[in-house]
Amino acid sequence: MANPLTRLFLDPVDSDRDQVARKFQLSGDYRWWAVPLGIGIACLALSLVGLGGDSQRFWYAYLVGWMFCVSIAVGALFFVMIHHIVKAHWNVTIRRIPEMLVANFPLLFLLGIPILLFGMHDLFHWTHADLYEVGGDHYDPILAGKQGFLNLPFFIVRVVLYFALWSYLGFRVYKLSVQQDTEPTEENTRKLRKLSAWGIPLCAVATSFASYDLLMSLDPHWFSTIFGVYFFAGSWLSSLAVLALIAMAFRRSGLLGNEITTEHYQDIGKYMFGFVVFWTYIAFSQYMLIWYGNLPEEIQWYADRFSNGWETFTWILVIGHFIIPFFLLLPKISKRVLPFFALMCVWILVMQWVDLFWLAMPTIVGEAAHTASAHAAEAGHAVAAGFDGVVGLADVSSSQQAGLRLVDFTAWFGMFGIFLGATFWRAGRHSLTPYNDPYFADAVRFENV
Amino acid sequence: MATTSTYHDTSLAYPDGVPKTLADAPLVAGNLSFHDVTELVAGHTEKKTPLFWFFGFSVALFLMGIFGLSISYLVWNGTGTWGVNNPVGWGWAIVNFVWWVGIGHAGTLISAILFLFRQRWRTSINRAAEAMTLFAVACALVFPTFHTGRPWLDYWMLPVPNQMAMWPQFKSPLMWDVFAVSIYGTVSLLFWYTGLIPDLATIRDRATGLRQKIYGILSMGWTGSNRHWRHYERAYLILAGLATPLVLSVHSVVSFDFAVSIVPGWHTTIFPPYFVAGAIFSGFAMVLTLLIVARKAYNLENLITLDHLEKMNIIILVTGTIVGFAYITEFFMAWYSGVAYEQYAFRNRMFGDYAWAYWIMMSCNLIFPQLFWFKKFRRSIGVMFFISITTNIGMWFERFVIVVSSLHRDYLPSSWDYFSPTIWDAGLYIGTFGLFFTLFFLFLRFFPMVAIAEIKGVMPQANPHFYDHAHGDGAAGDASEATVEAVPAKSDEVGR
Repeated sequence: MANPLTRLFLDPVDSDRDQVARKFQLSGDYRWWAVPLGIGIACLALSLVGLGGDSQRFWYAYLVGWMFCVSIAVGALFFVMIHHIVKAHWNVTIRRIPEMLVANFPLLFLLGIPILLFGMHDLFHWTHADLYEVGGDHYDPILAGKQGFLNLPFFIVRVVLYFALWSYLGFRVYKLSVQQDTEPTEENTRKLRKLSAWGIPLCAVATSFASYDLLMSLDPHWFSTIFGVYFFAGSWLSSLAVLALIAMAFRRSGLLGNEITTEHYQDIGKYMFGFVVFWTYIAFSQYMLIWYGNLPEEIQWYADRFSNGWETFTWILVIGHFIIPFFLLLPKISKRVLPFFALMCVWILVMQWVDLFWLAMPTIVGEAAHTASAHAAEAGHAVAAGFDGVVGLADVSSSQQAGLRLVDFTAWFGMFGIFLGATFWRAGRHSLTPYNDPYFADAVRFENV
Repeated sequence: MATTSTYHDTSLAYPDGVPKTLADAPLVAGNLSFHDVTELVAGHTEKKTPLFWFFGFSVALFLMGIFGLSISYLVWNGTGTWGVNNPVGWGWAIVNFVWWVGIGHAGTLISAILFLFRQRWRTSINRAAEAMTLFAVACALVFPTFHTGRPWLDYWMLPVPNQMAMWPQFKSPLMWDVFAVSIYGTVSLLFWYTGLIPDLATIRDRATGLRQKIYGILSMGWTGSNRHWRHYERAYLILAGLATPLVLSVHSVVSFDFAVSIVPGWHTTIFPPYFVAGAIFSGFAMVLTLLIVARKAYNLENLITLDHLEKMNIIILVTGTIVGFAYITEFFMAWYSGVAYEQYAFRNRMFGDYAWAYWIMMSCNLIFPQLFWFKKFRRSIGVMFFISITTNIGMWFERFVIVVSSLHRDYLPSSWDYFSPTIWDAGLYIGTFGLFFTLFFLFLRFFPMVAIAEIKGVMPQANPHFYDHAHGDGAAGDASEATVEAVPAKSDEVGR
């Protein structure tokens, strides 16, 4: 019997390595999981050094790296459930990879606990008690109005609920499918369909609100109704990239070469292309409407991302998250020549990280800038509301200019390394493909017309 | 979908593919042969026109008369004959425009997006849905065209060279609408017509005399050669690729009409995707309303089966729930924003003067479709017909709530007013139903209302190996005879 902690955080299903077909097994080589896990732990430890220097930067980097992994798991969960509910056949051969990704939710929760325990004050401005002292120097009537939602106990309850739901759904889709390897039954296919039917809407609600809580409320004055859709689009995209890369890693070591064919990669590539456009559509809609309305309470958020050097990252997103992948993923060949496609997947993952970084990090600078402009206003300068006024007055110290720090990368690689290590460790204990799924033979023979 | 893969692993639990117990019901029921399908669909353009058609067409023409009357009165007297007043400058006209454009989303979604997603069941419904799309877009265009007040000057909106040194206001989303809707209309028409060509040729080949000449011109020399099919397939794929972003863009641009403003209740970033979901929701409802009746009247139950209707109901459930979630998101975010005007706008929607409209919208769009969680209701013609109607009522009220409830409370209480439509508002709206149904009845009478060639492609006989096995001598042979009873349209009635 496995250790209960292993069961809870790494693999809720007992290993069935000795029962499943050999040709669908990962080699016993421990390096599969030990290398990413080792790199991950080392990087995370290295990041801790940064905690002493600039704790705010450390926690922001930690949050971005963590959300990067959360978004991949969320995307994978949607990927699995949506394809169950529409009775898709083509994706069955690759389905075990996202199934192994979604079993990471308890581990991700574990990695999120430090944020809840130690990071809240540095990350979330709305946790500062002096904002709510009526008559105090820092009293903020707007945030006081939101206190019913943005308060620490309720926030923690919500985060626990999101992870409880994700973990449960992840556990079920993983377990029911793994079970089919050793006890082939059509019953599980039906159960998975039913689970997805109620799972998808609840997961949509949880994901939207999680994105409001964990990313949007970093800047607690700002709000955007489309934000959940934006987060979902990026999640779906990054999970596709990860599952294609893992499949290609298996292929290189001689596994699943006949089961996950060029046809499947082409289909994932088509999805990726479609969601690059979808992400752009959502990002453009959000930007254009806020830019056009130019209301002070909304435009500030973009003003922060067009000043102090952050405009570079904004343009990186426009070009790197849309223009480049749009043109490179459009031709059929780019999805079928695997080395090139692998490169595109890595590119997409980097862009997803840049996107999350861009969502979170300018908030630190924004806060400093707002303080600066408030002082300027007190000193008798006119503060023009809106875009130019804010940008003009936002004069912050050079330490808060846009830029990358080592801790941004170490926290990201740290999280992702642990995430991948756990995934591969799990992969070593089960079949790499649900070969006894009723749709498996159809999926293998699948071809794009 | 022909396959060259030789992968066959007998150690799998299901080496031969999907087991019978999980297999989906056939897309075409009644064991029809290819010929039966042709007879069924092409036959309706050849037979004597049924009585109910004349009845329906007369009603449509009567409504068309109301349309003509309303338009004439409007052009003569101006938009002051409508109920628009000072804060509510956009009354029913824009509500009806958005409503009709929304309905016009289902067709191209079915033919383009479902095509790209390899949803083979779309072949039964795509033709009628695409036709409906075109007619709905035509109805939609009536409202902005005449709301300009001087429709004879509408060409000013086109970027044509002119001597007046006038140039369209490109900063206005209403201007973007002109482009978005006209491009959508054009591509949808091309798409619809491309799909029609092989079927028009089928009718041509069965016709004689003048009919043959007319259908001959319409089918553009289609011979069904291998080369024609190859070009056709490629064109269809390209058009599907082009039409897919258009399905999303049109209603996004329509939503920009509202969302770029700073009117509380209009200015919110979720509008584009939420409008698109709502458009698909109402479009499918309208397709459902029309097809429930048409499949019965034209004995197409074997082609448009209960399974097709059930799938459409699932799409209605999904999109209705998305729309409902968007309402709740808007409401939550209005509170969360801390902006007093936003908060007021949403409270006012729920409990203000137009609360009745809000709650009609909520029940029709969010609550009623939840019945479709139950298979029994998804497969009940009565329930689905009811919900298809309430959905379209609900979606009309959604636009009404957005437009009127936000406008009737301006920032200054002295500019508050209540909007009441006049008889001419109603006349034009009812009139567009005349236009819509006139066109639709003509379509039913003269065009193949189901995509004959496409539906044959998803029948078991289309599999190149179909006749290799027992099917060849048994099932298929019997089927062609059996269908004479299964299909009420008797082939001897078909005029040759």
